[in-house]
Amino acid sequence: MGRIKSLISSFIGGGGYYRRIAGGFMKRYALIDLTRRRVEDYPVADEEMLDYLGGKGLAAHILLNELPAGTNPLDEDNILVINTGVLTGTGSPTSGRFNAATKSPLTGAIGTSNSGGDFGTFLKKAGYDGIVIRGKADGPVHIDITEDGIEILDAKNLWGLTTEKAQAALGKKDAKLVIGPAGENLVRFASIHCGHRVLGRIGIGAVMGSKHLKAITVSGKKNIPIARPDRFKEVTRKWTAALRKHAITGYQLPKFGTAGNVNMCNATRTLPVRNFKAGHHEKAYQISGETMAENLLVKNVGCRFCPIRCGRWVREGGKQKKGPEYETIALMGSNLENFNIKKIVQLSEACDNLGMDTISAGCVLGFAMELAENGKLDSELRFGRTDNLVETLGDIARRRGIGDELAEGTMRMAEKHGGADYSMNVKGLEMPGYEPRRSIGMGLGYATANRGGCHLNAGYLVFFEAIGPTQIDPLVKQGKAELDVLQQNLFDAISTSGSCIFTAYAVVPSGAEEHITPYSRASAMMAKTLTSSGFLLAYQSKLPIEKLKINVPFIPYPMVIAAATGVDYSVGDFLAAGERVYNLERMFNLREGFTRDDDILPRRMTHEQQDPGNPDTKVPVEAMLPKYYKARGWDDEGVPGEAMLEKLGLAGLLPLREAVKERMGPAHRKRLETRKEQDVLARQILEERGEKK
Amino acid sequence: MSVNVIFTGPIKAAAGEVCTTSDSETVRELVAELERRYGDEFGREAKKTKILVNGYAIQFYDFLDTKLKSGDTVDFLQNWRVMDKQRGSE
Repeated sequence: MGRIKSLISSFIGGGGYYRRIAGGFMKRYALIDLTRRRVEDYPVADEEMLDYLGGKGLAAHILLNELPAGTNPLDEDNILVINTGVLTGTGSPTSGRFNAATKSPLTGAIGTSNSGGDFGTFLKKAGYDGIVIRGKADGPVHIDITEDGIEILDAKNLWGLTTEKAQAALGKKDAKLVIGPAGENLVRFASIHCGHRVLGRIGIGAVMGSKHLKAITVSGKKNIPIARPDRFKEVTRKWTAALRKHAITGYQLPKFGTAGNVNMCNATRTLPVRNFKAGHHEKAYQISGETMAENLLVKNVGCRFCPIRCGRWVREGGKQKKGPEYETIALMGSNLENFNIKKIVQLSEACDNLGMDTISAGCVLGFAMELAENGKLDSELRFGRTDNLVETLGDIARRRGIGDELAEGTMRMAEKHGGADYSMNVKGLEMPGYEPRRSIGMGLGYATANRGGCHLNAGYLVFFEAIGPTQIDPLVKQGKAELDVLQQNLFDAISTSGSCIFTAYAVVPSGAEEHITPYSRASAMMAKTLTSSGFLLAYQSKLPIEKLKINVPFIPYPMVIAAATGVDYSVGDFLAAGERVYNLERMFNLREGFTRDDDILPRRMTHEQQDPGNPDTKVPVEAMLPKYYKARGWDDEGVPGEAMLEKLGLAGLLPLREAVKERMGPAHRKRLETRKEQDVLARQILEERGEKK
Repeated sequence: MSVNVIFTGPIKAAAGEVCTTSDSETVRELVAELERRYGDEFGREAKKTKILVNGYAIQFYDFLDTKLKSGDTVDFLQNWRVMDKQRGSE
């Protein structure tokens, strides 16, 4: 019934004329019920596809409509949406991205994860924009998707295999998604793997594992329609050229990968060291992108359709293998006081094969090390000690010994052992590799990100505050809330459309340092102007941004979308889509009982000065939140205002808003109680399967 | 007194080394000393560089007049530019 109402409202209540899609999308979703072993079409209206551009936005819309509030994330009632954005597979730069979304078993909030690789492209070529998976199979299964349809096949022979062996065993398919032992054992930060790319975060692999779903394969040769092919070719050619000319997307990322951030973060004191106790270490250069390029690099690699090619292929242990990304280097390296780049490659490989998020795993290990140091955990894990780490990762994946505890993530570990002040997670999701006490706008972004501790969902203000070519004062509050909102909206728009967020680097022109000395008064004045413009950006929530019917060369996305779909599309439409996605995800979280009380950081970040001599080196989240909520058009409890929801065409959520407001007081407490009750399901499932050691 | 100096990015090539030390008492003195030591090209590159003292960008403090003390770390931090036609290969 919810689906029918949604379809009707999208026609008569959508706030505008009907827009016909003539390309970009395949206009087909499938609903796969693993309990009943049934597959049927899942109708999605054109207006819904355009409102969200597919991707994470449409997935959030489906989850909000279909998933009852309070669903246990590991229960069969949880829904997993794997889908593509409008540009996925079209051949526009970086259009190899796709998305997965669910209710996270790690956080209980909306959980989205985005990946490169071939799956999204070939899902479309098989004829589908996305699949919606519910239920639970009675034994291990594998979903196979082709142009001829979708089958649910037995996967007993795959269960227990590492991701590498499972992908090999699946034979010749155009693309594959698999989980490893971590997902099978419901490790709360288990991941899903697509070739060498990963849907890493929020424990999405555990949701697949809870459904007994080991793999999803896809093959197809259909053409993805493009409405205006000549125009599409023209704008994508210019966009590709711009990406190749830019200092970051055309040089730094291809040459050093994301690992090129290590030295920059270290210099700016934003590199996590020793469980985020510090932001700098004299040995950091040993694990930098430059060191990796000099000593280990074989070649750089990229996702389909990507001119940036940030991936690394390295030689280690006599074999060629995937090189670690910045996040892995930071969390498995400096965060653990491990300055051995080869060991980091081994740890990255172990996480990939076992099917675990390297960010969460690194944070978990760091937390365990500090707990052990403080006598709160009986463990051999120590900062700087690396000989036992690969084995420990195996223990986590198989829930053996202390691994069973570490598999629960830092939030739950702190509930058992204490140390909450330095349990480095936000809303339960472990923090990524940017220490925010020297980048307080980034810290505010972490606190407000919908999926929890995520640098991309946060808006990545560290680029402006620390590591980018231009710089604003990283320790002043002025303007940060408003800039966070702008960036968060932009990133959500890019992500939901099926493009890579790295293309956002090129929105900021490079080469300014050729004309303005970075440490000059002119540069400082420009920085001050940007942060002072917050008072203008503060009104962005009130602006009818969707009426900004312009296009500019350095924001190419709307022009490409217009050419792909045949629908007129502008910068205003694009930013409005991002804002819509952000608010929708916020409403999901509010419905699940998250409140303003969850927009926080660990006390180490808010109450411990990173520099003992400088009281400004902590993140004043509480002081910055009111301005953030105002810039968002939310009330002082962090609930999207009625005007904001109406502006974004989300008037259908007003009754939910009212319900959320009514129970705001006790909602937070109730959510925590419910989570503790629901957590036992993981053990019940594993005991039932006889897999708990 | 001695400060540690670290070069990151293209300026490393102009310096010919990754790090060094200096007894300069201000950033201005340090830049002048390094230009004498490494040559004009370093001086030109330094103007395209972020300079941080213990992680703090000097343009938010006293610019080139920022004082240095023994044990400080000064980073000359350059983001990469498209220096030449060489890119990673695939």
